[in-house]
Parts: sequence; C-alpha cells; structure tokens
Amino acid sequence: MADPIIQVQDLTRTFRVRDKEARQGGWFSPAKTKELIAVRDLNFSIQTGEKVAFIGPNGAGKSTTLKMLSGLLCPTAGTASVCGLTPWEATQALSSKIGLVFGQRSHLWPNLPVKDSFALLAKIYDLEEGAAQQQTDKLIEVFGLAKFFNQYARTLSLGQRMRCDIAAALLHQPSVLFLDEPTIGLDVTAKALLRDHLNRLVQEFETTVLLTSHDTDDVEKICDRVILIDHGQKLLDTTLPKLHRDYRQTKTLRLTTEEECPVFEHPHVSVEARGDHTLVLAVDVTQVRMEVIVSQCLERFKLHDITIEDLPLEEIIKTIYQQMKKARP
Amino acid sequence: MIKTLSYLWALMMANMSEHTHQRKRLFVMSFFMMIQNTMFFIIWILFFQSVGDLKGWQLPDYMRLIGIFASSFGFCMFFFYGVRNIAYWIQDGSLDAFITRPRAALPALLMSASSPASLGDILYGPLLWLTLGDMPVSSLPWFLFLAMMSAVLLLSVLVIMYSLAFWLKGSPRFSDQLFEMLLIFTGNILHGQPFALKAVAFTIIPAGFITYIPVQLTREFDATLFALLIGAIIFYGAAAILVFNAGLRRYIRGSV
Repeated sequence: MADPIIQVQDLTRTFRVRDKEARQGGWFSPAKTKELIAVRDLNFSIQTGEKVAFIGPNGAGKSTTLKMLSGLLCPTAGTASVCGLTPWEATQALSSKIGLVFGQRSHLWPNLPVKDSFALLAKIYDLEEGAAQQQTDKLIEVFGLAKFFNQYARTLSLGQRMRCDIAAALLHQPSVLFLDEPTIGLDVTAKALLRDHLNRLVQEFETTVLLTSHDTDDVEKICDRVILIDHGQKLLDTTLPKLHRDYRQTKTLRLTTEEECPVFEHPHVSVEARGDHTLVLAVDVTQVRMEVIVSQCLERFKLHDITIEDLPLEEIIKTIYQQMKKARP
Repeated sequence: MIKTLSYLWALMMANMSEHTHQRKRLFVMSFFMMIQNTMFFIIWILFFQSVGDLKGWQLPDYMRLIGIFASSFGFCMFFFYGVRNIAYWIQDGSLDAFITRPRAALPALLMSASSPASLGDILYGPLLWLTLGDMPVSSLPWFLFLAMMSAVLLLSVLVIMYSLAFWLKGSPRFSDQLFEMLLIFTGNILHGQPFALKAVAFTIIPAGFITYIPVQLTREFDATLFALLIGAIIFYGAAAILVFNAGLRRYIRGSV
C-alpha cells in the first residue's frame, strides 16, 4: 500500500485557559488558569483519494485537528504529515498542496466578480495562465458556476458562494481538501446540489477529502469512512458500510394498514408511532429476524404499504456516544 | 521578481476595485474629508495669526507639516487600510485565510481594505503645500518624495502597533489607542518641545521621523537629517517585518 497522504501520530493539543471555577485573586494577582486538552493522542492515517468524515459534537477537537493539519496551529505533542510535509513547519509550502474551505469564511473578494477572484487566486498560487484557464473552465463546468461567474461575490446567495468557494479552493489542484462545515446555513436544495458537485469533483480530480460536519447527510452522501471523536479522543474509525453493519441493531418497519388502529405486540419489537391506519415499529434484528416480523404483520393486517428502513446515521452516532459515555469511568 | 510585482499589482487592483463601482461614495467622502481638514486647520490659522510664530515656526512651516502628514496618512489609509484590521483579525481568526496561502501574509493583509475618505487626505497634502505652505509648483516632486518616505515610515509603525495584538491577548482596541496617540503626536509641532517629549517622538511613537524631520528638510536641507530619515525608514521597516513575523510564529504556536 502507498504511503498515506495524511498521517497523524499521537497528536495532542492543550490550551491554557482561565479557570472559571477557581477563586480568582485580586486585580494584581495573576489569573488562575487550567489546562484544557483539546486533542489527545490522536492517531489515524488517510490514503490518497479517500473521503473521510471527521465528526463529533461541539468542542470535540475537530477544528483544532483541522487547524493543525493545515499548518495553522502547532500541536503540544505528537507528529503529523500531510502530503509529506509537517504542516506547522511548512505552512506556506503546504498551502500549494491543500485546499481549505471553512463554511463561515469566504476566500473570494467580496468586491470583485468571481472570475476576477479566480484570476487573483491564480496569481497567488503562481499558476501558468493556460493551466489556470483550463482548470477554471473545468471547475465552472463541474460546479455549474457559469451563470454567476461574472457576478460580484457579495451578491451571491450562500449556496452559490459555497460552490464558488469550494471551486476556488481547487483552482491550484490540491491533493487534499479540508472542508469545515461546508453546508452550514444552506437550504435542503443547496445542500443537495453542493454534495452532488463535491462528488463529481472527487471523481474528476481524485482529491482526498477530510470533512467535518454536524450534518450526517453530508457524511453519508460524500464520505466513505468515518472518524468519530469526542473530548479530543478518537472513539471510532471505520468505513461507512461497516458502521451501518455493526450498529444496525434496530430496523424501522413502517406499515400502512386497512385497519384503523393497528396493534402489534412482540417482545423484541417496540412501537415507535401509531396513527390512523399507520404503525411504526422498531425491530431489534439481533433478537428476531426481520422476515418473522414481516410475515406476522402480513398475517395480522391487510397491508396497503410496507417499508423497512435502516437506523439513520444520526441515531447510530447517538448510540455510539451513549455507549462510550456509559463505558467511561 | 516580475511575477511578484504582478501579484502585488493584482492585490492593489483588487483593493481598489471597491471604489470603481462606488465612485460617487469615493468622491463624496473624499470631498467631505477635505472640508473636515479645512475646519481643523482654520483653528491653527487663527492661532498663528494671533501669536505670529511658535519658537521660530510660522504658519507655512506648520502647513507643510500638515501637508506631508495628510498625504502620507491618506496614502496609508487609502491603499493599506488593512493594517488597521490586523489586531482584530488576529483575535477573530480571520488571519487564517492569509496564512494558508503560498505568499507572505503581510502584503495581502495590508492591501485587503481601503478607506475611501483618505483620497481626500492624499489630495489635501499638495493643496496645502502649494497654498498655505507657500511652496512653488516646482517643489512638488520634493513634496511627493517626502510624503512617500513619511508614508512608508507611518505604515511600518502601524504594522508594529497592530501586531502587538499577537502578544496582548484580547485587546485589539489597545492598538487603536496607540494609532490615535501616533496621530496626535504626528500632527503637532515638536519644534521647541521638552527633551522628554522629543525622546518619545523619536523612539516609541516615532512621529518626529514621520513629519518633523521631513519639514525640517524643507526649511533647510541637511544631509545628516536626511540620512537619519532614511535610517529610520530602514530601521522601522525591518522592525515591522520582524515583529509581524515573530507574531505570526506565535499565532501558529497557538499562544495567541
């Protein structure tokens, strides 16, 4: 196997913060501080072309890790290598090899038409005119930017701006793309469009993606691997299909029946919701086979419709965190 | 070299682009800046009319000082207003976007904003120089040279002042206070002031180099003073780059 494009070993970052719980001294005594561990002994590696979701609750250490990997922050301990470089020692050299997109901040110049921002970025990254134009044309096509490419960046909608921002981050053809909450604040349609474009991009440019997001749909639609962290520590590192397989203890069974008030009872099935002609059941598939329950339903009810759903990723993640919390001393 | 210059030119054009589609705003704000300057100078005109001279300095001397100051200040704020954002961007993390580019962060930071009203200051300088400053039109190149020297110095000092936010956690307003203090020192007559004040004006708040020495050079050219001015430009310019880069390293260490 080739060397990983991102390699993280025992990465740790602590911050000294004011201790709000401790009794602070007077005006002239130094403030009492405590050490806050933002990232603790983090280990993982990512191969070229992988699309990895880095997920965790607020304050889990996602952004701190991303900052360290993009060279914006030194770790307190541990090592990391991105595209063969130590990020915090070679921030400028690394910037030509990575693309960064922060959902809240734009790389575009608000008072310039998008095309001029791209031209300026081409100068910043010292791209040859022909190569820059070729890449720009490709990005316009992949991200569907043609309609607003001549518009001033400040007049774009959030969805359009994000598409332009991601395209701009790819102008210099980075090997790795760091995406921090790329769909934050977007409506459902804009999110779907952006995810489609991102997937096309990954196919087209074979870019390695490390994404942080609170939206599990981003994770499911874009990534193929998940790294779960909490309190700065890695809880889980697995592929998305394996995650579903391992945590698929419960399946949801939705029934639409001829009967007005359907009732179903089984020791390994719980009723999630019940309404007029509808019944939603949660089936523990580790205890009972799904076909057993389905056949019992077919016997008991006159069915108009039946659907079987996996547990949503959000629920799986919630379950993992709950399990970890219980396991923690 | 050509690529670097072309990049810097592109940054400058991007910074100026704000004004190209808001020309009316640019002219109105510049005009009112000139009116505001006039209101301020009337007080000094009245002052000199009543006292005649201040320890050998007369109204034209002071108007030349203000002329150089207005143009150099206007030049800095019109082309490099980004300097005033440094402290705030250190605090809110906006600096990240500049660090993650394969170019030095400082030029892009400086040319990231422009104050439209400052065009009025730039234009006001030569106007004062030629009218109340009592200088001939042929001296304009000399004026422009001095104003440019003064602007480079002013910008260097501002970079140092605003880079202090790398060390003074959570207090970007402190840099603004230093900026205001520098303006007060720079726009006032240092001639005949006590030694302690002059000592401050040639070290910590180097207003003396920014306006006082250039005006002394217009009164009577002195090679030593000129060398001192060039020396100060080199010293404060180098100090600005060193302080900013040291701050940037501190920022990446996560100590900010």
